[in-house]
Amino acid sequence: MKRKCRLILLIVMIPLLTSCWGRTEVIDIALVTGIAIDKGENKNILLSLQIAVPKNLGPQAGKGSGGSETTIVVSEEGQDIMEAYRQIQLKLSREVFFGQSNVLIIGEELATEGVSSVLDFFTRFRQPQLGSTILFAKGKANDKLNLKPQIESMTTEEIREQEKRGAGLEVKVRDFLTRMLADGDEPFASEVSSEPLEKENNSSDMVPSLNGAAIFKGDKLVGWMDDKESRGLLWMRDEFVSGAISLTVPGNEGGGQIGAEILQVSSKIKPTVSKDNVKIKVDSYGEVEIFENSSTFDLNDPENIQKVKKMFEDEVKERLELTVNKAQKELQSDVFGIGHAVYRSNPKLWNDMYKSKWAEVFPEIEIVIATEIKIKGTGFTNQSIIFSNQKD
Amino acid sequence: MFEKSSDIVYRELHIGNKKGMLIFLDGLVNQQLMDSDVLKPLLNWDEQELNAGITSIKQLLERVVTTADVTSSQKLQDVTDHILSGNTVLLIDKMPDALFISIKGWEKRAIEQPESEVVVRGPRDGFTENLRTNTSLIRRRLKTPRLKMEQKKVGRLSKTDLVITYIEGIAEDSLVQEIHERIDRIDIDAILESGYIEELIDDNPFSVFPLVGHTERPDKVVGSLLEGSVGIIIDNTPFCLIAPQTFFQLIQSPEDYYQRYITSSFIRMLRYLFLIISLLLPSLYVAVTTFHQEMLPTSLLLSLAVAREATPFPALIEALIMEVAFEGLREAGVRLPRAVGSAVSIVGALVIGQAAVDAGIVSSPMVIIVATTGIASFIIPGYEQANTIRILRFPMMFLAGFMGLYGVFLGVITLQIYILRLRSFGVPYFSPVAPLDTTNLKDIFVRAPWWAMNKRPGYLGKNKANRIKHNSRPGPNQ
Repeated sequence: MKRKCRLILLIVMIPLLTSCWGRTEVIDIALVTGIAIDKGENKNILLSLQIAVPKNLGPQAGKGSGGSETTIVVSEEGQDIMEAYRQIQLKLSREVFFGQSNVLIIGEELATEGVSSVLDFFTRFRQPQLGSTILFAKGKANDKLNLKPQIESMTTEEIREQEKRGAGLEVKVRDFLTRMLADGDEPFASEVSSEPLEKENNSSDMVPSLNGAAIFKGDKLVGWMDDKESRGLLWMRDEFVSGAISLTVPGNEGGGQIGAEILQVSSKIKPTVSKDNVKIKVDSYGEVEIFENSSTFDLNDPENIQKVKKMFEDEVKERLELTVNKAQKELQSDVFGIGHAVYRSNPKLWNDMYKSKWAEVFPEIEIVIATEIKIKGTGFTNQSIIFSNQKD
Repeated sequence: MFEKSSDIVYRELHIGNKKGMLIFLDGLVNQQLMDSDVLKPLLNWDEQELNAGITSIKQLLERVVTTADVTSSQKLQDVTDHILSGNTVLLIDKMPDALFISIKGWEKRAIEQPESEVVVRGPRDGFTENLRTNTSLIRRRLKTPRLKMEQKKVGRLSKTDLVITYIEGIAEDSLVQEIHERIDRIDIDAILESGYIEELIDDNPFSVFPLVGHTERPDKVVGSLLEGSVGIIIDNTPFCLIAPQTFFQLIQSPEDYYQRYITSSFIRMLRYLFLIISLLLPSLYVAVTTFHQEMLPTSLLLSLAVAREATPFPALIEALIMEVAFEGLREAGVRLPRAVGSAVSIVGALVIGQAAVDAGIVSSPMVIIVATTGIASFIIPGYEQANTIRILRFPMMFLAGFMGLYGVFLGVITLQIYILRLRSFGVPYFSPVAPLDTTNLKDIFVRAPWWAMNKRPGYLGKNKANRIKHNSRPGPNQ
């Protein structure tokens, strides 16, 4: 009995005697909602954290007088992220907590020099999530954190929601790193820029917008793609989510515009590999539904559908070629993962021949694109309204 | 022997030429029957027979007293026993035998709906404090001579009657034997309630879980008897014990078997969910908000942070305050007079919850957590079992507060090992899940339709395994 009592006493004492524990109350942490990293002065790193301010976020927010910002941005320079983070910590009453950070924005200057040094922190430290979105900004990254949220309560939330909706390229830190480390694949990520809410109104508020892509070679930024090109990139990688495509009908066919929503897309990269050359054939397939028709085509007529189909196929092919051209010739970065496709089709040859000199081979290979578009529907109206008017 | 007992009555009378005496306890005897069936025949003794005289007490038994249950004995001890248990004793001058006339009758409660186990669909009769009423409620449901009711007396002073009931051929003989032995071992001055017996025949006296079941519902007892359990009905209490008891019986309600099986299965799964909520919700909340903030969606964590912004206490302390307050309110609700009880507890909880949140002492998510937990604990059918879960919630909260989710899982694993070690009358407490018996799982996580549950639970005994004809599924062709 006495021994039992002692044992129970010991067990009860265990939790009380541990001096250091991981317990932190929610009200003792500074929730980081977004991180921006830029190049600072003297090879330093400028780390900016967007931190949520709970007292201004709740249903009672706005009742109090002034200081109703839902987030604050804190930044500090340091030789590495850890140092900057410690410096930031000195300025805050609550403990910095990276666990909920969803957005990581890296500035152009730092990205051009290479991102592996900063990304190491995100893989090593336990708090940041590898599932957070990685984005790149032309110019300074921390400007983007300072944008005033318009619809959501936080800027980073707006970026996240845009991304979820399918705007931009959905690239997580994890994906970025995998592509960076994989052979025959190069990383890319969305570009975040600030756009005015109203066009041609310079005084309107700026909001973050995801358009275009940052293209990497290894861990270094080599160039940017615009919105159109980055869509093509997604299409090539078979990751397309949703989007619209519109084509101008040439004058000899009656002119006008046809706009369609893209419902589904698939792409297959088919390499033909031999000892002395690599040929790539890309089979692209898409399904669209026409939502806008200001041309003279009567879409009830199967012949016209065939014509429109052909036009869409040409349009898509042109766009893909534009993207391929940009990546292959201009930026010389294999963001399509063609090297990986080559490896999969012939691993032995890849390892022996191409793995080491892929960077030189890639810009020279021949890429042929074949597209096929299926028109799944033509919307609720059959004929173009304009066309019917002309008949009367 | 009965001096200083104001309730004992000695009624002297002449039966023919002999002097006699009736002894009984006032209040335990039906006065009407006493007058019409005992006193009247004895006093109006037929003249002719009077002349012949009474030769033996047996003659009286056979020809005079008109009540059904009459016995006789020559032992003095029997006389006192019979008087105390409510029988009337007739002694006649110069005759060695005493006649025990059973015209018991005392104030008793009518059969009412059991308060602790209410059903929507199902019989409304519940046990009363009267042993005979209770046995009759069971007997009326099973019209077979194989239903056995073995009577025993327990308690040195109380000499409480109890009846061990089982169905011969379905209950294992060894189980019945074991229950007999354990009850015979009891030597206590009084048994006031079934709880005394329960604690004295327990397999593991230190167990937090009840290892003997109890119920106020005769239909539940009969259901258990049909599965091979043994019931122990005890005088002076409406609670009947059922042994053995398994963990999963705490999820089963008699109503499960009366409703359509799809509804029952859904409700049963709901009970499992709420069982887990009742046990773990406050501790999960404490663990996640103080150790694992990264596990919550950002927006949820932000709302929590907003709600907790003004609260002065750590989450663990807050949870403890609220849980203790809730348990207090509950207990007060039980003890208060019935008319005000429920009103006071509900209003009290609302007012205290709302006021505490407004004053910034507790956060509103905590009130939601405690309220949900409270509701969850009422969903478990057995009152006693729900209490067990409620007690276990507190160590879980401490583990969560000290070690986070790691502590919670440590607690759950410890609890699981503990449950697996328990046995009730030799039956593993977690059967049929551990040890796994797949054929008996039809009545555990779901309630299979009756035509599919053709076997009795094997872990309670292998006798008469089939309870329904094979292929009994109804259909238009049958």
